[in-house]
Amino acid sequence: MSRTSHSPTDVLGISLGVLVILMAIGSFIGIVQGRMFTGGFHFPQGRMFWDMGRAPWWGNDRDDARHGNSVREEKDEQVPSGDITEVEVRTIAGSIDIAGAPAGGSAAVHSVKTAPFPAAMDGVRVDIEKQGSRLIVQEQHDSRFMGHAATVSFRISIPAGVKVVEAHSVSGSLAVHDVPAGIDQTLGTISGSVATTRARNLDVSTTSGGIRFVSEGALNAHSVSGSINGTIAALPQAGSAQLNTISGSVSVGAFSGLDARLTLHSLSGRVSCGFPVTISEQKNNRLEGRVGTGAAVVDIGTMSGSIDLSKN
Amino acid sequence: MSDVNDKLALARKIAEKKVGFIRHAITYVVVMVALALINNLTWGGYQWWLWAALGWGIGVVSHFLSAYLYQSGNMVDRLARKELEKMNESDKP
Repeated sequence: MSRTSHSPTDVLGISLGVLVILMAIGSFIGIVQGRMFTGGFHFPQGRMFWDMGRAPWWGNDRDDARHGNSVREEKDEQVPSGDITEVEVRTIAGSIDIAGAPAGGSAAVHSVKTAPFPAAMDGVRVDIEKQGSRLIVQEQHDSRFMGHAATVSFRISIPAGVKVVEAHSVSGSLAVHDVPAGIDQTLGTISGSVATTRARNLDVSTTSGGIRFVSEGALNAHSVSGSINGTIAALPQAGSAQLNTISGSVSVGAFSGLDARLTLHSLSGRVSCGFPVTISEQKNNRLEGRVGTGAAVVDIGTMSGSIDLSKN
Repeated sequence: MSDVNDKLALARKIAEKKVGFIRHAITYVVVMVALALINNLTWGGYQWWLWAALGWGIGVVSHFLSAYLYQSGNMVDRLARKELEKMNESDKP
């Protein structure tokens, strides 16, 4: 009976083969688990590769600088309120949070820059400028390589006297809360959600984010796939409330004294109305009519979502 | 004599394959370690080297299987012998 012995070269080759197989499998697992978006095994931090979290610009961890080697820089700036009556805020991937300043307080901008690596911080800056009575806060990016890797989120306090707020973000969320009454708001995102608790005239649009609102004036709310939920706390006599979404649902509560011509239409969703309506047309998923004298206009439409207009 | 030469040629071919794989694997490991170090010591963000490790790794693993498990000489010989047996059987009256 013969016994085959392996030469040292064979042993080396087989060992290398096993090592390569393990490396290929490890890299596959790393990619599948999304760990290539991490800080890696950065020796000064003493962390191992498999301990890494997800990238700061990936998913919900965007603002969490604890993950990976991402860096974070926070800055507070006071802006002399003076004659500021309008505020405009723009960001790309960061969130925007707008609140009223304490009584007698001035405008304040709290910015949080987050970048996946230190060098990316140089690619973004925060611009705060006043053009007449308009305060403009926005992030500016370098066009160079990785200039857009960093994100900026804003938390802004607006003083009394502000009458117009405009905020836009591409993928970040927008929130307006604890602000004085009587502010016209224009809010827009692509994929971020929008929430505002008190607006006079409100114009809000988003592609895939949801919308939550409380409005006291003219209302325009448009979404493609996000749902729309909110309260019409008041609607002027000649005012209008237009709410449209493609695949999201609409659930709106209106003040009991609503006096408007109603059009509620959905292609395939359910339509319900909690107000006593003088119906002029009613089909499967379409309801037209009048509440009261029909002084204002309420038009709510969806393609596949449901519509629910209730009385508060 | 011819049989000995054939076996020698086959053995040489197998040895060349094994040495070729060892060179390939060492190059792979060295380059991947270098890429991982560059990736993580410069800015340590996106782990792009994993894509190279996976793509090239599939190639090196195939090379390993070819050199050690599916040695072409053996497989061809085995298939040739089977084909020969079939032919012999079909030639029988």
